[in-house]
Amino acid sequence: MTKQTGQRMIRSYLRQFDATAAALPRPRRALLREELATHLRDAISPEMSEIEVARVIADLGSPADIIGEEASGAPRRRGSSAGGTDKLKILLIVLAVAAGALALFAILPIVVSYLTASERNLSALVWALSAISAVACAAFIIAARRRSRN
Amino acid sequence: VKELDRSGQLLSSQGTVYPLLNRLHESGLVSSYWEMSDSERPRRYYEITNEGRRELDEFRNDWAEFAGAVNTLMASTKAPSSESESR
Repeated sequence: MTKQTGQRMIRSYLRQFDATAAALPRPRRALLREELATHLRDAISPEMSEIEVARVIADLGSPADIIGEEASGAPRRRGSSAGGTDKLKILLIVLAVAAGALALFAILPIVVSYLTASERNLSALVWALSAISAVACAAFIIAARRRSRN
Repeated sequence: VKELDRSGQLLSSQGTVYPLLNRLHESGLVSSYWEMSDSERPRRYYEITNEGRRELDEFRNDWAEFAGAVNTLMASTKAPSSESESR
């Protein structure tokens, strides 16, 4: 294959890119075009047959595919893969609350024996409200951290 | 890019790596610079940042936990027999 044939195929590909990428912002379009052009010029040598060049272009992918990938992805925010860590934190908080509740139940018979019926009801209410508050605080802290990352 | 492409599952085509690199760049996980030379066209190089390395380490840990959990689950799940598949 002649050098001109390779150049012609690259130009043809870049023309397809220009036609497809019109919706992209101009600076981003220019940058992406330059990267694709460099990729093709690096991968294509004058010794290659026309079939081999076509293969290189096929491996690069159609401009529509590449523009689709460009358009589909909102930029990934920093720390976006930390979902697993947040889940671990929630699990630890739930376990801590459960451990606290168990400890309270363990000493409850001793405490309850000194309380009147109305004091028992009041302490049960206070305990339930404390547990709910702890879970709500944990959820609020995690939500605030996520918002600050975004 | 060729290595990613050979894996068969991670890129739909080699060219889609450039939008991905751009996103990593916008997120501060990679940096880039242009190298100019008289004989060639300008060439853009990418380099992972410290934040990118931290993110990668975190992902490695998350992935190991996730993969371990899935492997455990799959090992405890019986594969459907050929008899039930044919029904």
